[in-house]
Amino acid sequence: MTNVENIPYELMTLILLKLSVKSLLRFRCVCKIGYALIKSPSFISTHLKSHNNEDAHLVVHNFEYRFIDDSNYPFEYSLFVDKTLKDLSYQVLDSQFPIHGELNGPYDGLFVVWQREYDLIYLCNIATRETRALPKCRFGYPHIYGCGYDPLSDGYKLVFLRLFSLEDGSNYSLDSHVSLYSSDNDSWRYLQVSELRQYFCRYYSC
Amino acid sequence: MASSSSSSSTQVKKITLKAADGKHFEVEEPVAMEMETVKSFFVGNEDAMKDMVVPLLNVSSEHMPAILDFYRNHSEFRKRTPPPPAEEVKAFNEAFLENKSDEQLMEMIMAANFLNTKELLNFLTEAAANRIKNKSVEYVRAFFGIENDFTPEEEARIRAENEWAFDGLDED
Repeated sequence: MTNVENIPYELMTLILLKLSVKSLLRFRCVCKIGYALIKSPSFISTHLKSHNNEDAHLVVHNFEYRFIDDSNYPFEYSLFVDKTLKDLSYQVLDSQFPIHGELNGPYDGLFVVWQREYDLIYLCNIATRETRALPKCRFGYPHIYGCGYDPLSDGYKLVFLRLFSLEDGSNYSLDSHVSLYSSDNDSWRYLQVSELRQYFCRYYSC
Repeated sequence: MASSSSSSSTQVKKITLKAADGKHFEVEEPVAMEMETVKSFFVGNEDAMKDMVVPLLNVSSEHMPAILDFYRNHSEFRKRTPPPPAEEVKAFNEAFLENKSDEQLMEMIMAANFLNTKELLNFLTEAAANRIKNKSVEYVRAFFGIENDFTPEEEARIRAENEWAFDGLDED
């Protein structure tokens, strides 16, 4: 077989970048250098970018009201097996999503699953089958939110924007709150951004 | 070497490449220019083209004919209108990789890297990935010639983190 001295590290990286997440999770066991490489943020983000388009699949979120029996899940996630949609058979993804709720994303590879009835939010990575429940956000439901990878902190951020109406006698005004979740320290930060009021007024007027 | 079928009345300029073991290869200029390393050799040095021999220190003569064949065919695929059917490209690529050992594949990856040709490097690294994608950890260590430097406990712990990733593998 080949000799390790002959294969530069950068070329081994090029080969690993072509592999699926499943193969990479397995090959973390190969050696310590490989483990560190496959876990490194730069490798993960390059891998995500290079696989983002070619592996595009359509995830479908079925929502069914079933009032008869509470034990039935009202949600189902599935994935069309054929990208061209000539074949409409699908694969149910529920084993990869241990929880059910409103699905949004993917945002840089992550899905956000929201269980409104319990006010719980989860970040799900289908590729690695990892799910994380977020700590509760002080301000509850956002009006708008977004999620994405932040290379500076090497983690994901979730931003919630929430609008409050304030009534003081006959005066009526709007206040806004921004909640920022960071996956690297698994916590929320709360900011008050007064300029956002303007934005919200416009947002609601259009 | 495959002969160029597009030989017309106009003389195609040739460039001489010298492999690591000293063997010379005469290559049509457009084919030679597929290699960034060769191209950069001539940038700003147009006069030198005719008789200069380009040394390719990291490429063994064993792999030169196959590599040149790849450039000739793929540059023809790119230029052809309408583009060639996917099956034709696939058939060429499969034939190219047939009977190549893992070691030969690795050597060609290093050659493609030295020659600085993205298309070939991309194709070969993809081929290497296909050879290992459904294989065991032990197989991949042997493929790259890597020693396991984890203790059995450490390895067991990492395996346990993603047990599902070890399901449904091919035989080594």
